[in-house]
Amino acid sequence: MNKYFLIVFAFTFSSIYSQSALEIIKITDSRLRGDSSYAEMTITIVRPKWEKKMALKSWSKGTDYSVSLVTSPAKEKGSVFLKRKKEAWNYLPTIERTIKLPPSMMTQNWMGTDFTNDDLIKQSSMVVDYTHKIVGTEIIENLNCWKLELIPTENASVVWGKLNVWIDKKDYMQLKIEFYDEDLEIVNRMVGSKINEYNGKKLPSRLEYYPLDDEGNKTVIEYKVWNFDVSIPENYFSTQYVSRLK
Amino acid sequence: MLLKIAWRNVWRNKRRSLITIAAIFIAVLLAIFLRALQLGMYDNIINNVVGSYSGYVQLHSKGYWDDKTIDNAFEVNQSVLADIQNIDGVSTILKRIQTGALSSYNDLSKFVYITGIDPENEEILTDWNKRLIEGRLLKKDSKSIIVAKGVAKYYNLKIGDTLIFIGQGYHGMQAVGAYPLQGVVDMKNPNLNNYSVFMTLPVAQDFVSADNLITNLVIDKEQYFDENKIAQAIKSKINNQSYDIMTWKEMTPELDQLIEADNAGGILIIMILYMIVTFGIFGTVLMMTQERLYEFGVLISIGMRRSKLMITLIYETILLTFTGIMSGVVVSLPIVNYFNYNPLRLWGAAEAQLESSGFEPVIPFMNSYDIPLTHSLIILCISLIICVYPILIIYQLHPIKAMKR
Repeated sequence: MNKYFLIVFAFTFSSIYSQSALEIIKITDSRLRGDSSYAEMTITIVRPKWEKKMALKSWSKGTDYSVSLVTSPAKEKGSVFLKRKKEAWNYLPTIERTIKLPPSMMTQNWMGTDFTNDDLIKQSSMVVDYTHKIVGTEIIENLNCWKLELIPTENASVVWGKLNVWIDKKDYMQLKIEFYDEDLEIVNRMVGSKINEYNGKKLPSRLEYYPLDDEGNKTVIEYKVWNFDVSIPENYFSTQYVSRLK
Repeated sequence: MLLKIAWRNVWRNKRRSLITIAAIFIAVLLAIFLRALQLGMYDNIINNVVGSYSGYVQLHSKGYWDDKTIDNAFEVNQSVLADIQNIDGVSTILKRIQTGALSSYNDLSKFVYITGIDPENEEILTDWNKRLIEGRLLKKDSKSIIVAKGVAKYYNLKIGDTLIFIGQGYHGMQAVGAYPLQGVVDMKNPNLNNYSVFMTLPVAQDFVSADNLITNLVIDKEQYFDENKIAQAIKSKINNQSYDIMTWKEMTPELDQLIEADNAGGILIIMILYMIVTFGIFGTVLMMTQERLYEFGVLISIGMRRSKLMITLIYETILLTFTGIMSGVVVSLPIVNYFNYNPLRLWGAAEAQLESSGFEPVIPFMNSYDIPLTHSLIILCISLIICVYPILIIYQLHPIKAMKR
């Protein structure tokens, strides 16, 4: 009798949890993206022997369109990374050419960082491509967080086998994400810190991304400006405009 | 006196002598051809790949050889250069920077190795003029590139066309550039021909954002110097913590092993050849001894000393062998020489096979004095050993039995 009760209890709870888990993910995802956004950031690539800093401006519209422009270092200034739906282009000012990234390049590093091109293009699928479950609560950066487990749905084209996401209960910030491969071995970890307020939204201004296979490697993103719901001309996301972005 | 008798004996039965000479002649000729062919092929491979491109000894920063990325480039300072230059047997030192990149022209793209070279010094190691097929070679301040003929063929490039390169630069920088083509070269090696692109050192360094850095220091030796000794000398002079010093055998062990394995096969064939030759010569000697038993019997019974008879026979053998060897060498020389300057070009399946394993499908004969010398001496030894048989016969010879018919 007691046992039976426990099972029912667990079942009801898990169903309540799973519903709100999806909601949590939806809220956090829309908060992070907004309808449109404009950001200025620096990306630091850290390797055991060296470091590289670059500055970018980035515009995005919904989940389908985004474009980033490199503003420093001088040698790479003017390089543009354009994403339209599932396709990506790279504009290189030195050769005045726009290159469409072939599928074979999707698993390669994005601009020398620890992200793959795939990570950037498929980043928005956290809502659609996964089933979500709350597995606990933890405290990160002195904030009370849900710990969510995200398992990709069967026909989702996702490279990960599992994600663990820590989202704070008050402002729905993603403070920590762990990426697991198909064998459920942890491969990457992303940690957010230095919470700032951008347009009334609280978000971590510093993201550190650790590929756990390569010790000593990490990529740090620091947001300097982050505006949401700004109006961006449609042509910003066209391959014709990339050479004129400023 | 004995020599004169031997000389007459040789001429007494011309046919018999001729057969012996012919056996030796063919043996020498075949042995020389076989070795000249094989050693010539190895020499060609080593020369094309090692001697005129990768160098006999190279110096890299530690770990570069296992992880050939531009991040393992290093700055070479003048004192290290001077130290190496002062080592006995070092002739030239070349600085190179090498990186892989994606090249593109019109709708095609292809992976290539870009090598930044110092054109003037590079000329000492390789005769670039001889390799140039089209266009002009790099000069010190050239901003254009030259490509190997395989790359040119893949894109169907003409002089003046612009190739685009995209790759990874030093410390995470993008490496992107567009360069006009100014020349096409034949690297004499299918692998190098399919993937090589050359620019000057400063242009390549700028391409990968690695000012003053290099990835390979190529150390060329003077002829006949032992590269292992040079490598050892460098190792003792410079800081081993930050550099790797490698000889071509360490850099391309597969080449060395391939040659060793093929060479072993060649030596086996030579051994079989010698075995056949040994029995050939032995056959004629056996025949000669049996034919002349009566004669030996007569000579001994009229009082010739057995030892003198033996010496006569040795003289005869030496005369015959010498004639055979000399004629073999004399005939082989012009042929070997001809094929040395006009190498055999393979065709069909053999050509495809050699090309695919990365070798130029031509076989120049090796023109060296030690091939005929070695093989002449070996055959001379064989004949002398065979000579033991008639000597033994004479030693045991019973004149009456021998003369009885």
